[in-house]
Amino acid sequence: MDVLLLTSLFLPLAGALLLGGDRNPARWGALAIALAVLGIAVALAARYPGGTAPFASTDWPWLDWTAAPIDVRFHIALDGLSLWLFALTALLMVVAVLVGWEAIKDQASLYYRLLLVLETGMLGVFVARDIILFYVFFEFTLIPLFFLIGIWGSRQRRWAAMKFFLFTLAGSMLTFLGLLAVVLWVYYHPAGEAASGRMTFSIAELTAALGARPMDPTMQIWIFLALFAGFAVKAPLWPLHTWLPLAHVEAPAAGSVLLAGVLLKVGVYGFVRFSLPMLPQAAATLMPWLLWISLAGVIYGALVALAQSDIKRLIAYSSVSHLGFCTLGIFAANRLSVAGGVLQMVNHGLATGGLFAVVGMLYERFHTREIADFGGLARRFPRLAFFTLVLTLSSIALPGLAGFAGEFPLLAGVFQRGWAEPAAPHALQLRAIAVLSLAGVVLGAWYMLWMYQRVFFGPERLPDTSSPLPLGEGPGVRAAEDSGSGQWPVASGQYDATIDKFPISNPQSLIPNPSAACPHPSPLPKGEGTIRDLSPREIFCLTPLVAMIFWIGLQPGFFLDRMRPTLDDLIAPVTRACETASGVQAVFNSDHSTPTPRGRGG
Amino acid sequence: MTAADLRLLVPEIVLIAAAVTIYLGGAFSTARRAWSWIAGGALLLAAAALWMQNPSTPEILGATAGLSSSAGNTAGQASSGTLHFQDGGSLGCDALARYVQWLALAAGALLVSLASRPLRFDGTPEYVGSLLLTVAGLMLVAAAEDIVLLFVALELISIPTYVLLYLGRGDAESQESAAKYFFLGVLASAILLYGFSFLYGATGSTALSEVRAALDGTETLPPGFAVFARLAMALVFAGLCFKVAAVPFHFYAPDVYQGTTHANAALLSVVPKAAGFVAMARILVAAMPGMEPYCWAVVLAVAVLTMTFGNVMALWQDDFRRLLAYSSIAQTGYMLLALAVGLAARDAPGAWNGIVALWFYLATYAAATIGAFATMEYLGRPERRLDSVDDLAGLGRTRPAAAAVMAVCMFSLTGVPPLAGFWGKLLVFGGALNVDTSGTAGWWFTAAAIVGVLNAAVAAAYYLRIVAVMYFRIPLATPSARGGRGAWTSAVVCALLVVGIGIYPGPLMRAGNFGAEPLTRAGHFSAQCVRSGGTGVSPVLDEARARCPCHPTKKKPPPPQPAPQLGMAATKKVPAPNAYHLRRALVLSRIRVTTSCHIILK
Repeated sequence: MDVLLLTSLFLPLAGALLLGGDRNPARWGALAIALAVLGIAVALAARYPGGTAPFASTDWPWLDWTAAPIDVRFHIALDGLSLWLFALTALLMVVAVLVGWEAIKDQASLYYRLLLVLETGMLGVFVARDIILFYVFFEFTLIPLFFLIGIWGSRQRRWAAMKFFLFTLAGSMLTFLGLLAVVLWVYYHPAGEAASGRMTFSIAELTAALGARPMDPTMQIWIFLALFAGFAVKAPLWPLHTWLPLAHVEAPAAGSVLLAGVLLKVGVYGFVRFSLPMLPQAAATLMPWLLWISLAGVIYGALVALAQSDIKRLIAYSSVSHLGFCTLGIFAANRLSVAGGVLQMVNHGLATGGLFAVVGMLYERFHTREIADFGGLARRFPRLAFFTLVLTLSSIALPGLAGFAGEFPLLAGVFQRGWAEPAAPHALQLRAIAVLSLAGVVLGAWYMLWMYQRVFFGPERLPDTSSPLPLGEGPGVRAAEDSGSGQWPVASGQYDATIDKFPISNPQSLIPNPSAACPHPSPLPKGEGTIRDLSPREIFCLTPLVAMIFWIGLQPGFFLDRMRPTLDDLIAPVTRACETASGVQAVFNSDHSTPTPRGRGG
Repeated sequence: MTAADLRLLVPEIVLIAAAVTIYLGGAFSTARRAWSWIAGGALLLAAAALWMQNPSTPEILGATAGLSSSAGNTAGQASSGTLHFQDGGSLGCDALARYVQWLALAAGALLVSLASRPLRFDGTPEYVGSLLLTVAGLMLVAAAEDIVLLFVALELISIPTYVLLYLGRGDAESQESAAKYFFLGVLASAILLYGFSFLYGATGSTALSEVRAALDGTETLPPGFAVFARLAMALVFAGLCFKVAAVPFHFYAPDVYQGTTHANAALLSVVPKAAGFVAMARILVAAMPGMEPYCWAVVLAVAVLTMTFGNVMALWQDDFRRLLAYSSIAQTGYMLLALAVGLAARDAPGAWNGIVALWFYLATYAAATIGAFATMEYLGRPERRLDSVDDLAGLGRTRPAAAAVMAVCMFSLTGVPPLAGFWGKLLVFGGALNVDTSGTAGWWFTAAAIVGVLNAAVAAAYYLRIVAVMYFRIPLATPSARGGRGAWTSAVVCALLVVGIGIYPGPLMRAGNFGAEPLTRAGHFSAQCVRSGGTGVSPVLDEARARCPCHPTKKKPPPPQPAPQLGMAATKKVPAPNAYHLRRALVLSRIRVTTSCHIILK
């Protein structure tokens, strides 16, 4: 039992249950808890010994149901893969609490409680070492995020929340079946001696069992596809990404930060944790397909991002592109590429999470996110420009910043896969993919820098904030637009949407006067002079991200060394499956000689 | 009739005596609250009596280390230690009966509490009394080891339900719904009885243990009789499908739910459903061992149809009770899937044998559904019920506690972890995947599981819609929330149960496993020793006596249409020797049907 890890997991939940009252106690309480969890995460990372053994493990029986073989455990631990994502979550949580510090006035205590609940869910996903526990946290994150998007989001928030939940649920239910099928397969096909009569749900045990006695290849592919359904929606891979831009754009700033920074990683994490080590033959067989899909996401996301006029939407599509890179690295299943992919997950969380926070800050000041409304902000807002620049450059993988540290090994690994020495069966395709993926890098630089140029350089142009609120962003206008595509179509036309979504405590918000009605109070734009550069709070919120970006960029070895043993362990089966050119046949010819007790599985 | 027999019946006798007292006393006093308290006391007394009969109950629920240490042969232990047969009776008080009886008492307590302040004032004593009778009926169904007693017990549920439906609202809609339910209910009873007559004709006995012996191949049936057995299976299943509201016998549910009160809808969605599933388990799973190859296919097809139909239709509903009616149809589909698994893979290890899933699912479904209806009841006031989903708009702001309870129930029905519904889904889908894939059955079940999880995602759309209406919309009016403390207590208890079971499902799973014991192969053989010496006359007479006062009319009832046909049909088919019992049941049921027919049409 490790008290630190347990505390970090349940402190936010306890906080969510106990916090209450007004805005101030709620937000300060939430900040204190987020900082405490961050402190614990740093302490754990500092203590992490490396190697492959699980670290800070707590293992309790949960469903020790004697009459049945089910052995679901409450087993949490960290390893070289989850530690970094765990720490990233803790860090981004502080950012998320701070980014809505002034903007959230309506039902503030509920907001911070939901954020804390979400934190428990996200941390739990990464520390769970039991399949059911993992799945519980995996789906549990949907509930708080559903509320965060739906209550504090912008125009189409209802539809966005609904679409987000339904897409993810539909996918993850199939994943659920896949995970159950894995468990059942291992139960009926025990490796080594006779069945223990105990149905294990432990991820480590299942991986070991499947490594010792791989599954039937057809079955592997089916189960792989089932797992893929959920993880690919969550990641999101093209063409299952359509919920993401909507959810990102509609979510409040903190929601976007966490969604981009952490929740997208859950899908990729699932691939690394489950799909590759448990179903190596399927991963090897499907590799060209998976890489093509990832590549399509990279290119498609980048091209669509180029065409965006809304900053937040642009960054959302850039996430599709970047997550495509991550999965490209993961599915290439090469030691280099996987390490790069995992590091890139962390980098993307830092950079894109930070960018979403910046967009939230811009929006808080100007109530618009249109690129065309801005120009030359760098002169008046040098600090904002600096932080945005670092985040942008990291996002496009400038050497010396975190993005490069991840992307370089990733792409190197992909190339290595294409030009591997015993040529892979699909070598030509793999080479094409490797070359084409470079286009994604170029496109990424293009849309990000172009956006940065239009917003921060050139002749100064500030949005006119003294007139009535821009389209779709004041509460009144926002509500009026809700009647459009914003609502759940089944319910359309049932209620009078024009009077929807006002804080009831604030009836004068009907008046289209920004100074009276604006739900975003701090620096209220009465004239140009009142809009200020970043406040200390905002600097405090962005500094750790930038610091981490520099650290990872300048000393990537520190991180890569600590994650490599675990990752090597995880991808060893896939590497083996790929390296034996006719690997599938070889393994299964030997497997068929052992009689299977019963044909079982999903 | 021995003293031991009577002792087995004490809980039911207590309930029925209390009902009689309440009926009689109701003539002198209409103090609502007092009668509800007396009913609650009666339930408590019955629970105490049940406890006395079998003091080992706490051990079943207490899933702790002490028991888990003796893993391995606990299955045998549980069955030998707690199976509680009395010889010479048609009352088999086995583990299954225990489980369902506890469930019935718990549901009864929640329902009495929920209805303690009916929105319409008169008729309370009759209402409460009828409620107690349905609970007693469910308890008897659970224990019935003889098809005549089973039928009578089912009628003991149906007939008070007709009265309850009429008493609920007293407006035109409610009369329509009562009449609809009554006529379809009588038709279903006729079908069921017709099926029983074939069962009797094929096997020559009304005792389930003898039916089982005749059909399991140990005693050869005369040639051609197997066809009758199959016919009996189909008819019995069809008749019971009405009780559980499965497609295509579901048509009454939406109309009836919409036309009645929340309390009645809660009752309808729990008590007849539980009775139907218990009867299905007793007859299809336990008593017709040779029939599974035909049976599971039918049940599986109905299950898939039911869940799909219910979920899709629910998407378009605006009336809350109508929506939950479709939801209850859909949930029936999942439970039928569990039943199909129980038929196809009865000897599967512990958790995966389907019946466990059925019992567990039933309990979690009951808790969530009663909670939802109780919240609605609480939010209304005597003059105005809340009917539409839109009445809930903005509840998250106006009544946060009620909204939270409702949201918990909805998420549980969706099956999102970590709420109770998730574990039900885990057991159902795990069981379906676990069905042997060496035959074609496995593939069918896998396909059904996939349809099932996709259905769960569809279902999320309408459950979430309720949550979205509560939290994402502006309140139009603050619900008066004058539905009474009883309803609120019931709602809160349900929500706590849902959360509690979700966090620690072990005890309920253990109890469900215990309840499934008599139906698994192992439990089966131990049940073989119990041979019914003849139909237990005593329970029938007791009920007959107890039920007299519930028919306040003194006029001679007009001869009803369905009953004589019914009687003719049945007596024609039934051969001479044991027809006495059947005819007896028919006479009894005819009296009941005519009397209640009269009440309804009055």
